[in-house]
Amino acid sequence: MRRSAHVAGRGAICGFGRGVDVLIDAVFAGRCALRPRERTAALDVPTRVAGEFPADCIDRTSDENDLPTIAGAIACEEALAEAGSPDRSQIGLILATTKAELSGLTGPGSGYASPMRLAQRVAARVGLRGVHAAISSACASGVIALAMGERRIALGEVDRVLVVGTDALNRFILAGFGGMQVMDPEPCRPFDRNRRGVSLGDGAGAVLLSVHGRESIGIRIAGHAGANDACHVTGPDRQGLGIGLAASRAVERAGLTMRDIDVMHLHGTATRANDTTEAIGLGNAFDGRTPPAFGTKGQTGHTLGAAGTIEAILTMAALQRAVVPRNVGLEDPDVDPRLDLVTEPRRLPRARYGIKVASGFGGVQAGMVFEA
Amino acid sequence: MSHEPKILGVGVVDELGIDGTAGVHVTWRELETEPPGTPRTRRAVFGASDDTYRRLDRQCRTLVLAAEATGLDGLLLPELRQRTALITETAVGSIEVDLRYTRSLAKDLVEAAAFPYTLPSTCLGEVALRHGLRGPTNCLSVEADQRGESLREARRLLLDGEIAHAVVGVVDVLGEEVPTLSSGLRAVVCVLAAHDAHGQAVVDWPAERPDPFAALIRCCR
Repeated sequence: MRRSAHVAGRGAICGFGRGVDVLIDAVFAGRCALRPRERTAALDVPTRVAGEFPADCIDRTSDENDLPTIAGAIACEEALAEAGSPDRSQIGLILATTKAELSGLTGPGSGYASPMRLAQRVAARVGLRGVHAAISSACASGVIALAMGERRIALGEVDRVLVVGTDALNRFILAGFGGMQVMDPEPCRPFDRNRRGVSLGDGAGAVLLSVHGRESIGIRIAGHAGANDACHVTGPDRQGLGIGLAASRAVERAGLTMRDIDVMHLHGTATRANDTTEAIGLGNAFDGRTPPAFGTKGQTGHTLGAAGTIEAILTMAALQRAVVPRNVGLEDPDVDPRLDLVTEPRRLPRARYGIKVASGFGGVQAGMVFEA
Repeated sequence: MSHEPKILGVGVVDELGIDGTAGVHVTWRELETEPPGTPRTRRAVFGASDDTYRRLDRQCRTLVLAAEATGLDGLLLPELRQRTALITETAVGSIEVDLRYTRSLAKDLVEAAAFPYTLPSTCLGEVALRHGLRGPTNCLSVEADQRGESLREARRLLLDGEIAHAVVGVVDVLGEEVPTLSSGLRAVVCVLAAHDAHGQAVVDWPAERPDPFAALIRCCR
């Protein structure tokens, strides 16, 4: 019988500040962390805003290159604390990021964008047993890392595993998105008719998974799956094939039908292409109207390698609160109407299963179903 | 009876040339070009027309050629490739493009077209779209003493029943001196199947050896 992976602890830090409760309360209250750029204000990029870590939540003297390490460690510590501080010397780490640490590329440091080296630093800082794995699979990395952790528990390799996604904004990242002309000059508006592109954010999200049901916060991973659009390395399939496959396969792996899903957290980057195709793909996958759906990149910004774990935490919160928060920035949706986009907070008549979907460059797709 | 995954095909691209269990064996000297070839190499070696191949950086070309050398289109029917996973490991990641992109920033000339390729997983997308691979995709970061993680991760997905086939390998391409990183050019790719899947194994499962990819290279040459 396949062993279950229960969520035992969560941790987060993002543009709203430190702490899972800070994140969840802010998102469900409809607040927005996309503020005028401060730490990155000197960078000439085509956006006024970003979801930067507030100045008072990380030591101001920290080198920007150390932010992914520091933030990752903060999130991990909170997750371990929520779980009742199990013996961390027996727990290994799986880390997700997009660009890790770049001090060697941008200056005299030793960082050359190695996720494994970042993971080793985070694990050492937190006092963990070591690193199981480190990945960089674009913006689906966080969900994929959670899947890797769940699989190790299911197969009996480990009893607990700490999964963290972490990324921090810098010139490398901001200039890249700016150069691709996919940034909204103002806070992004996912799925809205007037959306103009992404907003970016700093972030780290951590989830401690455990085989022990007694350690659960009341959530387990019910199923997950990956897919690939296999059509273009930056643009999505026009019918949203890949994200639809990820969603439907995750539900299938959970032993459920699409109708069993009560809430969905979207990828929702606010680019014209992503949101349009995501709505079509999910509408097709759900064969009609989707469950109530929300995305939160209009509030935290796109936190890249941290997006999967942070947004998984928010999916869990929607189940626990039995409420779907509104899609901030959405006033006039112009995507496939089969996607049930919540515009005002909505109580869920049933809140047992939620799904998180994620996409990334390279056609990478991932879906994960949580059970409350 | 072994329940280890079955390796149906292997492809190698390195500083010697291109070799694969599907029958290709050619050196860069014979091709009269430096590794990993020119925009015409994929067509020259495999007869595959490819309108976008010329935009690929060295890491992508190396991986695309190695995947082609496995003969995977002949090993896996299109319907099987709908659920075939694609998993790689890398120690140097997309470092060559990272360096090129960073230098463009220093000159205030952002090379926006290069930016997507600063993700080490983008080259997997280039393989996926050429072969219709629509299963799970993942790019693992490893250190030099962690070789074989991609093979072990693929085995997990096979054991877990999420997939029945996978395209798996290592790709490391770095042509200049960078502290703490090893320069060189190598991609070793194999096509895996579940132990009880249809198909003949070309080499024994090597994942527990110190350098599993060395065993795969030997079976090609």
